Amino acid sequence: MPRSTPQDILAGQLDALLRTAYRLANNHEDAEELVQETCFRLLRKRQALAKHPNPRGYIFASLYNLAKDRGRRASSAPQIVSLPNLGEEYIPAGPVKVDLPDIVANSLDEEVEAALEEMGTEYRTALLLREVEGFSYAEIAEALGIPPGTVRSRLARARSFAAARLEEYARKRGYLGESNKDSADPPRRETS
Amino acid sequence: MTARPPCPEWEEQLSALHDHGGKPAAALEKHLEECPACRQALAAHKTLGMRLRTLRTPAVAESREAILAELEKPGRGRQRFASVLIAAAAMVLLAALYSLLVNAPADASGRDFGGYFEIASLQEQESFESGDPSALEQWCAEQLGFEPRLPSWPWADWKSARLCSIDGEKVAVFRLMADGQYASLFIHPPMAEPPGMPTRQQPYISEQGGYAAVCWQEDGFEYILVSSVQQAGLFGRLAEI
Repeated sequence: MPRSTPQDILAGQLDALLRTAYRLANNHEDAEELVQETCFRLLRKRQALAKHPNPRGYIFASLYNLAKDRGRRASSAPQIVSLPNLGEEYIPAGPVKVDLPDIVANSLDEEVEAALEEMGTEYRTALLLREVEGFSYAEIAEALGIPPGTVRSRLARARSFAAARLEEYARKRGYLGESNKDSADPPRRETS
Repeated sequence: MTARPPCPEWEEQLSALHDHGGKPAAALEKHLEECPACRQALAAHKTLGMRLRTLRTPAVAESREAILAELEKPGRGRQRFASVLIAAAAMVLLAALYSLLVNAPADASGRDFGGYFEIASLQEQESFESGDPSALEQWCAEQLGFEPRLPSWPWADWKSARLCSIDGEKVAVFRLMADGQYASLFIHPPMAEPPGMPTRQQPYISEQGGYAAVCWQEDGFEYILVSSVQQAGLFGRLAEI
């Protein structure tokens, strides 16, 4: 079987890269730029990409590191956040489709997006790579530059936090009673 | 129905069970039988996963198509060589300025040097001083895992080597003296040569802020030499090579 070229490998990950970049950058323009730059950088290292034992992890490591670099540079600048244009074309995030009226789906999306926003980037990225892109722990470890054991704990904390937040939103909307107000602190950057 | 957080001691195992499926370990299975909060947390993980997978992400089809088109062009990536070099040159210009700053007289320390602190990490990098180019190459090989080959410039007086990171890539930086002035030579790791690319290019020269950089490729390495624009002679020597 012929080996995939670096271009093929990248093309196969493009939608996932765009989805993840959007969650890292929080706006379309920066997400596009991030993906373009990631692709160009990887093409400059095409030999390393072609030979890498974990190409998906390697590709997303490049994206994640680039986003982190840009985040550091922009941390002192005002943040520009553009809201999604609902009339624009959307990529379904995964194979599961739920047939809900748009207004209900949008409302549910907002809750999940708010929970994602509140957690640190490293937790959000690990969670999305696992749940949306179906990455293995090894691939997430490669992408985020952390040991697989840390992936496991990061995912657990991210999930607990998101569950607590979603419950809190549900309570605010009156779907749940007020009896239990346990909630988690947002998981933030680990210090080492 | 309200949820309590899962028991902290089982939190990771519940998350891993959600990810990997299968039959839980006996201890966890027993705990799940007894703990409604953990059972509920496991169910919440499934719900969260579904909600994340159905989360609608704005996508820009045009962008995807444009990127795909770029990827399909043979040799793409190298075509951005000049712009990448300009970016790298900008970084090394800052590095050169920084180098001047760390050697600046004490009375300059209170001045505002704007964004130059961005490359302050250079100061933390290990360095190695030697006038022997082979020793400098060897030191870099030990640090980087590849051996950057220094050019055979009879007019260059090699001073030191150190490492820095530009755009996440480790780069070897060599200090040299030529015509009585310092210059810095940055060498990128070797990269694959796409078919049809020449092994050597005409030096690309950019000037900015009183400094100049000349960039070229050789033997799969990318070289960037930064120095003062006053050193026209230095760049003239390179152009003759």
